[in-house]
Amino acid sequence: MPKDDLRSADREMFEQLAALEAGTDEHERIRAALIERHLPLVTFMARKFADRGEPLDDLIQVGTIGLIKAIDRFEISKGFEFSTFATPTIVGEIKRHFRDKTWAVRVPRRLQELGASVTKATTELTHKLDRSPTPKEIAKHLGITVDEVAEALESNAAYSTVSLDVTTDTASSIGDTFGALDEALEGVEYRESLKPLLAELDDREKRILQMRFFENQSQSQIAAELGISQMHVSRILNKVLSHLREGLIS
Amino acid sequence: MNTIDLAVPANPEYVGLIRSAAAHIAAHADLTLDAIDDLRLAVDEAFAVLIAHKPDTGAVTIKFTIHPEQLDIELTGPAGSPPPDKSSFAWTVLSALVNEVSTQTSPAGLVTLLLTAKVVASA
Repeated sequence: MPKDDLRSADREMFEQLAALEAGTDEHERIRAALIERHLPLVTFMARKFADRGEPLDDLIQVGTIGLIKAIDRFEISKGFEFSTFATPTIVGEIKRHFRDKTWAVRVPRRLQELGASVTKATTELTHKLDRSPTPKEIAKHLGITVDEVAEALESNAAYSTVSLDVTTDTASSIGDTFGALDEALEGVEYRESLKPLLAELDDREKRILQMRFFENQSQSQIAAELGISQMHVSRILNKVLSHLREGLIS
Repeated sequence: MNTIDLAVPANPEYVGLIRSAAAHIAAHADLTLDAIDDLRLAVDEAFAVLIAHKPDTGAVTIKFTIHPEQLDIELTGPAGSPPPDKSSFAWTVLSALVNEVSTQTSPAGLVTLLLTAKVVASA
C-alpha cells in the first residue's frame, strides 16, 4: 500500500476511534487494529536498542506499551502524523526501561543521567579521537569535573543484572560467527586446572578472552568488532577473570 | 608527582575498595577509559596473586604514583606470599592489561608487583 494510503487509512481509523465511546466492542476492535498496524514501528525502534544487553523481546514489549499510550493520547485534530507523534513515546518507554529496570544497585537518578551522558560522550569522542577518551576529555566535552566523570563511571559499573549471555539481534549468537577456536588460548602455558575452567566459558567469552589477552586488542576494538558496548566487554572480562580466579583458588 | 598510599587487610573483601581507588586515581592520571578498565582488572588480578596463599593476617599495601606520563602501582603482599609464576595465566593477563609488569622480592621476603600504565592521550 503506498504511504499516502497508509496514512489516510490511519487517519480514518483514528477518526472512527474518536467518534466511538471508549470501552465499546467497536472501539476496542479499532484500537487493537491500530496497535497491530504499528507494531513494525515498535520493532524498528526496539532494534536500535538491541545491542545494549537487553533481550529484544523485552524491548518490543515495553515499546508496545509506549505505542498503546500514544494511540490513546493521539488527537487527530492536531494535524500530526501518527508515526511522528508515536515515535518519541515509544522511544521514551524503551529508554525508561533501561533507566529503571536494568540497574543492579539502585543508583540515584542524577547519577544515572550523568552516567548516560558520559556514555554518550564516550561514544562521540571515541569516534572523533579514534581511541578511547580520557576522563579529562569527557569532562571538558560535557562541562563537568573529572571527579563527576569518575563518579559516573563508577556508577555505570553497577548497571545491569541482565544476563551477559544475552545475544544481540544482529548475530543470534556472536560466538557462532567465529571459527577456529582459540589456538592462542590452547598454546599458552597454563596450569592443567585452567583447562576445565576455560571449557565452561561460552564461545563469546572465550573469544573476548583471546582477543584481549592474546591478540592484544583494546576493549574498544573488541566492542566494535563484536558490535557490543565497551562497557559490556569490560563486564564480560571482569566476570570471566573472576570465574577463572575463583576456580583456580578453590 | 603525587603519591597515594593505601593499606588494606589481605582479604578478598577489600578488592572492591582498591579497584575503585585505582579507577578513581587513574581517571585523574589521564588514562583513557580503556586503560582505566584494564587497570581495574589488573589490580584485581594482582591482589588475587598476592593473597592466593590465603593468609590469615597481614595487609596488602598499594602505592600509586602519578607521573605526567604514566601511573605506577606497587602492590606489596603480606608476609609469606610466594613470588608470582611468570608462566602462569595470571601473569599473562597482567602483561596484557598494563604496559609494564614486574616483580621483586624485598630482603625481608615481601613480594611486590609493579604495574605501569602509560598515558597515551595528549590532553
